[in-house]
Amino acid sequence: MRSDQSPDTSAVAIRVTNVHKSFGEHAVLRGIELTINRGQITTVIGGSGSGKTVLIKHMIGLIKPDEGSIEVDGENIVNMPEHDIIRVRRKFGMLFQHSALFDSMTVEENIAFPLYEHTDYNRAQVRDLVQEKLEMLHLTGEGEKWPAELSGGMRKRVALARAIMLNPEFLIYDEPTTGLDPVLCSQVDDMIVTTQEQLGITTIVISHDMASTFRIAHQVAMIFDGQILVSGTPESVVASNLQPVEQFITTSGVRLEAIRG
Amino acid sequence: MLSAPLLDRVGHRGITLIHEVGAMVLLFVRALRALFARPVRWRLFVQQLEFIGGGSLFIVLLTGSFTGLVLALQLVDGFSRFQAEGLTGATMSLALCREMGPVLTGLIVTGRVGSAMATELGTMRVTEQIDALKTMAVDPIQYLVSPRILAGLFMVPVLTLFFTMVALIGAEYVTVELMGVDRGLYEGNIRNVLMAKDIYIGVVKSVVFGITITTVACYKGYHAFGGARGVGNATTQSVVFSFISIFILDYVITAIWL
Repeated sequence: MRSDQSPDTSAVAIRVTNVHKSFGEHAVLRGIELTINRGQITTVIGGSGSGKTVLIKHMIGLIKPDEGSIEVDGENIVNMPEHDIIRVRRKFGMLFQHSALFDSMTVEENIAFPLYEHTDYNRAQVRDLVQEKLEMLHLTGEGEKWPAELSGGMRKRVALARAIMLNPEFLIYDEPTTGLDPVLCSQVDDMIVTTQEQLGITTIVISHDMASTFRIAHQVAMIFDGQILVSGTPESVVASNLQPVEQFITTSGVRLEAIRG
Repeated sequence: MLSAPLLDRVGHRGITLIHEVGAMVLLFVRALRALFARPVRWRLFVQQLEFIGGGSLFIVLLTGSFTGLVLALQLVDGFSRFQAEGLTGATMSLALCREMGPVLTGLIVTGRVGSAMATELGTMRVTEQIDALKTMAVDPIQYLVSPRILAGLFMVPVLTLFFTMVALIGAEYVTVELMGVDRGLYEGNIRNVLMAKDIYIGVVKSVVFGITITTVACYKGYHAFGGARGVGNATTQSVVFSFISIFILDYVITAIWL
């Protein structure tokens, strides 16, 4: 189901160069090198606590690295003043692991939030745009509900609607399938691929779900020991025959032979 | 003689405390600066005014009236031992305006509002809602902290005023109607003794308490970590820290003023 027409693979959207980050004594990132290609789905895999989320937070300027540079659309954001970082951050939409919907707002208000914050649309225009997104994500009629009343899968879709409201250039999913049953997992995979194809958004998925990764990713990068151990197409990552990669894949219940075909 | 490990622990706690107080002051300054940034969050400010004021008014009135009632009973009884019941009103008005009004209101607001703020922000932190705000390019300090501190700054003095008023009304009822002290004497003594500066100090205290309660609650909530348990800890710490701060600041302000 992974789409094979990959637009302009040469265009680098985000370039992470030699990024180091320690929290106290604990070195989480130790020289990360990674490029994210425009218009593709890149999946960052790695064990729990390997620093996947920390790496993502660097890309949107929520965390500053101790060393190294992060270029978004050719701009180094590391020493950027806060005002400019906010401008860069508006290029991103992010789906948090637990959706992070505002529980003091209804579904509609959650989805409308970025519009009220960053656009001058009037109420009617906002309502139309919200309805459009609700329909696109099969949430029609759920707008009046509170986040607490929704199932896990629905919350993800509401969070996605909120994340794509301002037509971001980049969309980040933080462990989108964690804690979902297999049917929901594959629905979320569909959602990621469909959104990417419909909107052409450069997509970054953090995951330790190998089955999902090989279904949707154009590019895979594996974090191991604070560095990118291997990156490339899923096929080339499997073909690398590196022991941590194989171990990671086999222990997650995916048969190597099945991927290698 | 203090043992070395004990000294070590005390010193460590001391440094942590100083660090925290400093971080709270910084948060307050950042929140204040964010008030002047666009967009102005009127709706959130009014919501917080309503939450602090409307939500606490009933309990403030209730506590205030009983404080006045019981204090008057005690004072009339105490003063009657040297035939000075007429001083009840004057003494009460000083005590309430300068001390009891601001301090007791501060404690009530801490328990009712400070704890709720710490819990709300703490929950938003651990469920990544604060990170979500940031990724949507919204400054969480400006969105969450500034309206709360500003509302505390305005509303705690208003609540204090209500507290003091009902306490004085209750005290007059007990003293004049129940204990039979002459009303003219009671009110005349208040007029003679109570000065504008006694009211000012109460207002200054309540403004400081309002800022302190909301800043502490926002700081503790904003920096909560570790799931539901972490939020619980943040709430407890915020209430304890505010209580202690109110008593210490009360002493400091009084000492400077007098």
